[in-house]
Amino acid sequence: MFESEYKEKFRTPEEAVKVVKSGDWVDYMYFNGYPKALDKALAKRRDELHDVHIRSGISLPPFPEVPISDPTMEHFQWDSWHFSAWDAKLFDQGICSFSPLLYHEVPGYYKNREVEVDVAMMRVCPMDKYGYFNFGINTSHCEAVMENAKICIVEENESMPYVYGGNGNQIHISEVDFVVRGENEPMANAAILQATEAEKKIANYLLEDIHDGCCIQLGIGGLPNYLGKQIASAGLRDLSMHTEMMADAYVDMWKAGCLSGARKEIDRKKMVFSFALGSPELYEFTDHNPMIATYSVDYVNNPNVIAQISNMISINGCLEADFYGQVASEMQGPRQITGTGGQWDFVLGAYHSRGGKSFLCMSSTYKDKAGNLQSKIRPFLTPGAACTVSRQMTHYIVTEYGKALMKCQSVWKRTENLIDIAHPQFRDELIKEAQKLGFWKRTNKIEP
Amino acid sequence: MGYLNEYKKKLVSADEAVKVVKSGDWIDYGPMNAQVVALDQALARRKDELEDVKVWSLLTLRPPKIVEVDPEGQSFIWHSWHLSGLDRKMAGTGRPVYYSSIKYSELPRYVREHIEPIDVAMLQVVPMDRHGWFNFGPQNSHSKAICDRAKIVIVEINSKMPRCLGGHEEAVHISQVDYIVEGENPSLVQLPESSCSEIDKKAAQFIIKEMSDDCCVQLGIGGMPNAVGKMIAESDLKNLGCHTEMLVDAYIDLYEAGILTNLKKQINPGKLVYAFAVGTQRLYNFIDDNPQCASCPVNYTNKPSIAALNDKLITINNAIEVDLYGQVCAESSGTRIISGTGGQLDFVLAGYESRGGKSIVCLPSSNIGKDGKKHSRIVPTLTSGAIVTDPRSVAQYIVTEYGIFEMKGMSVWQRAEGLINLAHPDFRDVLIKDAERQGIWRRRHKIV
Repeated sequence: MFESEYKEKFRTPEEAVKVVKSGDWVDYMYFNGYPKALDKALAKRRDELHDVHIRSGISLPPFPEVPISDPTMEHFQWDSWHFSAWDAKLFDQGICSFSPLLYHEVPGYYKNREVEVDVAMMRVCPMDKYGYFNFGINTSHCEAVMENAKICIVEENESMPYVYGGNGNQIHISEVDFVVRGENEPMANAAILQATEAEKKIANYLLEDIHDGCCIQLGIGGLPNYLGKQIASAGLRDLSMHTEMMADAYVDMWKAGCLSGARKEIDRKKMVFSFALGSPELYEFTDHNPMIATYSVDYVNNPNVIAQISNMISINGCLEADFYGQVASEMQGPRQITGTGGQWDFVLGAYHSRGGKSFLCMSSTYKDKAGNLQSKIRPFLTPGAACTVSRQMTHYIVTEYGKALMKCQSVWKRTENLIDIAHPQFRDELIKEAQKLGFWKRTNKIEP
Repeated sequence: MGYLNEYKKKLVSADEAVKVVKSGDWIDYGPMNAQVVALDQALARRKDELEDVKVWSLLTLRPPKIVEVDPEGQSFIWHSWHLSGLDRKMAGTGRPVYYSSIKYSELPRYVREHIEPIDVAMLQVVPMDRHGWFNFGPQNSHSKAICDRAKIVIVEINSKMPRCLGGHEEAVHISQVDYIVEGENPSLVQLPESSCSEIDKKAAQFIIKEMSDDCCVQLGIGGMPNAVGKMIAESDLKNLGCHTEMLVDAYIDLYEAGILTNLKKQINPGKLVYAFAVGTQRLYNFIDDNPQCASCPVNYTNKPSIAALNDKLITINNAIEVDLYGQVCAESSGTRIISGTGGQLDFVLAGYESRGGKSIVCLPSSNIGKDGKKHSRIVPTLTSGAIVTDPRSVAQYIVTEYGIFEMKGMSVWQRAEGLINLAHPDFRDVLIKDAERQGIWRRRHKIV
């Protein structure tokens, strides 16, 4: 039915990228939505183009060619909303810039024209019989980008899982300008990490706060993977999923029969997410799965939506915390390594959920370049590090030594609670720092 | 007067009433002008019998006697949810003043759910009405939450306290009160209007351009918001609305100029909605028994999802410094606490969430430091120890006397360029060098 329109709009990648002009803003989708064939074709046009800005985020292998094709940044300027390790490497080389965001607001940035898009490009599922290109595992803000771009180009890939909505998970051929076909390369995986000893201890603390009927938001990494398995073996019932990112841990919980979604107030019995990142098994699970509903991120991450779900438990990682309870989760000093992502959204939403809690987790120490142990609990954030979650909002901070409540605690109580979960080697030193700052009340004490 | 007998039964002297306080208790002294006076003097007389009595306050307006008689903080430990000039002065003389970080909209919940139970709550209130209610006067804030959480409630009545009609939660009933003390009817503490400098007026001109007929205005405290109020009063704007945390004299100017009708608000049309009022006697006279004014608890006025129900909500708040990433510090000077978060974060969120709304953070581009030298308030990274009041992901507009810049959706290099354009010309070259060092300055950047 849409075949003639399809044929009319079909191009080779080389033909399609001819629409890009010097000075344009081009939008690549994040994650596995990055348009590989189009990117390759655009990189070839380097010498004809000047000052083309590309917005992207979380670059995954096989990595985009455009930014590395131009170390001078005269032709292409690479801006990322959220760094993967690869983006961070480009940042270190001075050829990648960062754009701060609140993830739930991103579709709004496009809808309200706070950012302009000349050409949008993204990798999608092949057209279905109704003329729709499904955004697969990268729903995020795809629809808002497409609807507000002057020119839309989709790159079909048969390896992209077809994921049911929700909303904001597809675009119709009538709204698309050009269609190209990629090489059907498989989706990039995220390695399944094993939990460290510290992460295992943290997971056990978290488990104390998870009961039947909770709704869980967790991310990627050794800690969520281990926690998912612990939940599965603890035999918890009627848990549900409302998460920005779907990860392998949810598949483990579902297989163990923990994840019925039956007690969720909204999207009952559906597994709700905005994008998925993990193993091939995870991607296979999301494909044509009627239990799943993927939504645009302005729904999933909207704190008001999150707060409608009772007993929301939000679990995220962080890098350091200071005596005030300010949390840095994205920068090591002035070095950007990830981004705010949805952490802020879920910290706020979970606190406003009836019975909800949010946990920001980290091991208590790290080893610096010289191999010395350093505390991640510090009097102040490392200079240059942006504060991801401001102290008024932080609920709990967790390390392998326990949980520290921050909400509505006075500065002296925050300091005490945090030193309680610092590595024992640093506690005396931290108490001295606290005394110097006047954060240590006469009656303060640390549990032996 | 069906409540006269109950009133007589509960009426005691101040000295009698404070006998209920025990060592180790948590007590609440009443926010702002509700801070007790006769009870304070009586409690101070018990200094030698008591130890470690922890006292909650918010925006202290009168020097508390219990702090004066106990400079070491052995008997009474002063805690504040938001520092006033007086709290700062007490802290400056070495008296322990402990600040607790709040997101003001959440404060009633901290009090009801999170803090240790309040053993004794004491508040100055309006004399009882014929239905048995003691009105909280100009400080609704979290007063009802304090009474709900306290084991013992003592009211100190003051015939000079204006009766501030609801809204809701504007009064406590005699059935919930344990003791009544008839005080000495002290006049309310007045806060003079902040003076506006030429710089404030220049910045205000940029802000006024962002406003239009029918918008709803939240003005924070300080010279610039005050200058905006004055300028609106002289403008041709029509049908403005008021939905604010703090009611200040500037709103009366707008009302008297016929500009503030509140008629076009989506919620509470026709009413000035506020959580507390601090200003001159003119303001206190205006709100007394005025059916146009609705006094509401702060979890209503400040909750972003409620405030944002008003279209075109323009929020205007002050800052101390802003860094090149767009992080806003509005409450400390390095480690030294100046005030607190108060409702700034709430209204920065609400302004952006409101349809057609805007949130504006304003500051003079420079100040003269204690060293007599001029310092830029646009800084490369926040001063070490400074508190992030609004994370960079949240803040929308920044204004100085040199212009206005919107940050949403902007990359760090765009932010650096936009913010350096707002800096004092004396500092721009240095800031550009800092930006280069931080890797956020682009080849093609330009400064106007």
